[in-house]
Amino acid sequence: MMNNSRPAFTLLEIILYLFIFAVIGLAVFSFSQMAFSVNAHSQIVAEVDSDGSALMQRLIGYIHRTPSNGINYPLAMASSDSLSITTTDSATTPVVISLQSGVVVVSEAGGEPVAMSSNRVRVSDLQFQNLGTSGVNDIIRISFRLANNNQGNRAEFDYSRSFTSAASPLLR
Amino acid sequence: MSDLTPKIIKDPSRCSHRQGLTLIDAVLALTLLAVLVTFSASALFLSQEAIISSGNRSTANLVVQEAVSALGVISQESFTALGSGTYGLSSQSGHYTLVANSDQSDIFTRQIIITDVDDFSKSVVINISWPQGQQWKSLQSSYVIYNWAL
Repeated sequence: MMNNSRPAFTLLEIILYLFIFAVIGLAVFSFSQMAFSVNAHSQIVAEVDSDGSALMQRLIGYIHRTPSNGINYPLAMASSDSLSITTTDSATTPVVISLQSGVVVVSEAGGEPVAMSSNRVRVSDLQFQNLGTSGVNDIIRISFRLANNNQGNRAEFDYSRSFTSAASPLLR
Repeated sequence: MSDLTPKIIKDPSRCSHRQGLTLIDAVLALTLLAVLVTFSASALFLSQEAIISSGNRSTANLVVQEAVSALGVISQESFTALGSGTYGLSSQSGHYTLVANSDQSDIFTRQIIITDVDDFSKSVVINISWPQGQQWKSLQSSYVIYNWAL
């Protein structure tokens, strides 16, 4: 008769196996948590950065399409949290850009305000500063701060950035 | 003549003697796991850095755009105000003016280098640099500004 007896695992071996399994499991779990967190933060950073640049380009576009004497306010050497411009099209004049509850809105000819910024982000400290001289060489410095709409208050979704640029009316 | 040797003796799988993992096997497995985790973590952080770098670069472009607009207005008011040299930009007086060396806008350091080309044109190089991690990144933009009044 054959001898088929094999020694079983000892208690020490089982405990060691479980310990190694737990350590590796914990490491894999921590790494995947960190990977998800880094990925989420990266998405937020990309979103805020691209939304901020896009918003700034749209604001600059409005100023570029303004006639040289078309800045209603802020006047030269003044600053304001809203911008009013006269366009070449009387149906859209005046165009007023302002901040309402964290959203940049544009209103044409006294009409309903239309959102210019996405609802995924919150805008603050919007400022238009006219650094020109007496309406001849108007140049508007635009600055604002954009933050992610972190409704869950999660640390990895917390991100904000300041954007600053300037533009002059280009239509002569 | 048939083989009368019992098959059970020839079959090695029936032999109860089996070897476990050697120390070399275990060390090799752990090394492979460590290499895999290191590569994954590096890829993750490199992709995050690329996203941050891209955001900084697009914001730096807005800082360049501000300088281009400001230099346009300064040159319209007085082309001779754009003397050869290295400058920054200031708006403290209520107007854009050139200041010595460079200026700071958030994390971005801006340097404007103006060189005379001839009587009615100047070469402008705008350098933007910013810290990112342990490194300094930079963006350079150059163009020629003309005195259209002539």
